[in-house]
Amino acid sequence: MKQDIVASAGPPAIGGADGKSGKLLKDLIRDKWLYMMLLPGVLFFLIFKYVPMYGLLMAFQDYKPFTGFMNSPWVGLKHFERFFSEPQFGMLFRNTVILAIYNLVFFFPLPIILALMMNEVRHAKFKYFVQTFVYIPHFVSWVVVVGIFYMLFTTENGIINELLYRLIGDKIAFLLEPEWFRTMIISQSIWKEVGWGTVIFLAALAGVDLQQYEAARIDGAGRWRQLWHITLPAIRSTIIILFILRLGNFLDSGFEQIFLMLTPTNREVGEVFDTYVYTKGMTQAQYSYSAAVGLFKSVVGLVLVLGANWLAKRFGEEGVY
Amino acid sequence: MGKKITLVLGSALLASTVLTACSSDTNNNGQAANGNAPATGNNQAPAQEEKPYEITFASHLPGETPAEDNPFEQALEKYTNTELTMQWIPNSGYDDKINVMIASDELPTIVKVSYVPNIISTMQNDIFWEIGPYLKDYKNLAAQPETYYNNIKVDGKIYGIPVFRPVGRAVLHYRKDWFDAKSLTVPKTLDEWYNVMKAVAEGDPDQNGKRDTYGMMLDKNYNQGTASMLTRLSVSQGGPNKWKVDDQGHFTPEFMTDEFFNTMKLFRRLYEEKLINQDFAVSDATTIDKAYESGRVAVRISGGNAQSMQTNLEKVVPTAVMDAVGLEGPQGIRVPGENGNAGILTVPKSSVKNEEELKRVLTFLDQLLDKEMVNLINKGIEGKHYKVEGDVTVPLDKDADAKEVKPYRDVLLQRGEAYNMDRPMQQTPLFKKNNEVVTENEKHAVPNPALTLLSAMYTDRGADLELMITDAETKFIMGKIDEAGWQAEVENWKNAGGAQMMEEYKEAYLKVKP
Repeated sequence: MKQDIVASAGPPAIGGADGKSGKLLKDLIRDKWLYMMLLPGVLFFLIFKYVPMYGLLMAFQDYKPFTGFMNSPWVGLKHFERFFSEPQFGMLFRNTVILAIYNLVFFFPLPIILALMMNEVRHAKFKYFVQTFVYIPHFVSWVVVVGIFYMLFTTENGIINELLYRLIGDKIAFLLEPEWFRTMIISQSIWKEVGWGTVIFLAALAGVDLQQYEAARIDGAGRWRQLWHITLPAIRSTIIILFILRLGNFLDSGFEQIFLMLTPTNREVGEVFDTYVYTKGMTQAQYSYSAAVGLFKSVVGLVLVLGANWLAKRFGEEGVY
Repeated sequence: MGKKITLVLGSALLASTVLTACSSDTNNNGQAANGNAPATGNNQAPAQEEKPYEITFASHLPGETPAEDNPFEQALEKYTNTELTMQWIPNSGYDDKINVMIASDELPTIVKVSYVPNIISTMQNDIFWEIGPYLKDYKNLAAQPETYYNNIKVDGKIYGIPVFRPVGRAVLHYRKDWFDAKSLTVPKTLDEWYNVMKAVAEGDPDQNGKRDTYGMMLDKNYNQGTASMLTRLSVSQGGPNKWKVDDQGHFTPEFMTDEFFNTMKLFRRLYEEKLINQDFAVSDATTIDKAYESGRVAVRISGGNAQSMQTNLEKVVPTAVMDAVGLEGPQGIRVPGENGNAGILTVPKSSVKNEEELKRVLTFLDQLLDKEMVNLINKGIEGKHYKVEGDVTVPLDKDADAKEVKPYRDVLLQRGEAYNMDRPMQQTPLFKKNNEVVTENEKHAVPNPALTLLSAMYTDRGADLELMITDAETKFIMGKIDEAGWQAEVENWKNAGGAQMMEEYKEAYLKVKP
């Protein structure tokens, strides 16, 4: 890469150009196996990530399936204008952002805490047991998770409500009350994903040099001191990277989960960009409009990632790239 | 975002790969059929002039998926000289999936669609064959009452064959044993409805000492579509069917009428006093079906037959007795006139390329209403699903019928005993009684005046507007908003496009008004 820049910046020399491409070719031949190994990954991204992106063009068209990409009229920013002037825009934006913040505040730290706690467990077998156990919910699909929650929390013979009824003499319609919606969503996410979230942190923790702990103990540091001065700094960059990546999905609320939890009475707090895109695009076949909404969402995600990365670098951290 | 687009494209891609296979088959076959090429293949039966025409048929899946190439399909294929491939699509999200199929422009030979805004605009965009002009050449298709066709017209044109269904399906099913034991009478006015609901919910009719019975249970679709419980009850009380129109052509939506509002108030009261299920806004239809079938509920306004409920109920409560009567209000029987179809069978132009092929497909559909096929589709295979006994046919194996015949009966064309059936089926008195009520209902059906009128606003935002008001109905019944709040929601609806829709309907109505 650096070679390229140097060569193109310098005066065009016939021999140099030849030499450059010759070197590139030589490199290619020398490392052919490495490049071969790279190929599937590159192809994957090209075919499944980049090629489908031409579909984004429909956000600037009045796309009709029967006329196709080529013949659909171009309408510029019409769909974006409609989206931002839509009366629902404020509600969607608020709901999505609040859920995202809740997720960052209540969900994001939990895997770290859990990983630290598991790291302190002395008994290896017990540790592995717990580790496996907390992963399992990750493999349960959202449909099933919501189904379980539904059975637990429904007012018609749901266990939680039967208990509540015996304790306080009243039932709470967790599934219907708008004020319970976010709590339910976040607790479901926690139940399902916390264990899985610990994987990366545990891996980072495994890499901490044990000699540091030994040295600290000799210097008289207790458990808390060790945690604060050795463990946390050791996984700090992991935390930051994951945080930046999480920001990229800031506006992704998790379509399946929210869609399954939506009811007529909690829609005012539950409708988010993801469900809106679905209703508009799939149910009402307004493909261009929903593509525009989706595009807006990813642009926000991109800006957040770049911003967070820039900030992280400013503070001397590594960042994502 | 990336995810969403990939999802859309991915599913489109998937649908198209699956369908490409089908449609290219169809094409090949179509050519063969067009050319009337003499059969040269080894596998040709000598008696057949043409190679069987390949038909792919996309439809919703009622119940379990039947095995491929089962005896039923074979019998059907033999008679119609076709090679039928069914594409069963799960009922939930059916319309969404059809949208994806349309978007990917790879459709089967025959696809069942619903009469909804974006399908209507698809029809206007000439994606499907307009078959109106051809109908007269097909004796069975032409013989069906015009109303069925009128109800699916778009700009006066017919783009498909309706999957026939009675117009006045709403029938009141109730637990006669409970009613007799508690000496209750079938409710007519809203006050009587309240009393029955209360008596059942608090009277412990199943005598198990627990308060676990309801007069009625609602599922989350209780206010949606043609089978809307709110509409049915409010129509029985004298209300309009979805829209009310006066002499000057002014349109008023049902929810702005007193009858409808009173019906909502009844449910609000029932909800408040815990006389209906408290989680109705999140209950699936299947959950509610199970509650009915396990003998916990007394009354239901249903489009099905009381006999199937009786059959299921007997397994749990052997002493249960169901009965079916017309849905009566203070003015006698009044039921919403439904659109008379359970979907429309359309023929896409992308898979059926020319007129010759279209005629071949229409022949297939026409044949479904021949005597032999009427028997097959309604009763199954003789000797396996039914036998002939004098003037009637007797079902042999009801489970086999439910698994192997009913899925086809629900999606192929048939009008039961009403068309081309030589021997009626022997049925229980209850089954007959239910059918008689449905036939009687036809005379008392209140039509929906806006059914085939077009409104640009409806096509564009109809689904949003509908959701707005159905959500508000639920909130009102659950006591989340009061009367003022409800009025505010109605105003919102008007401002969001409802008022314009009312105007557009008026305009369209005055244009076609005789």
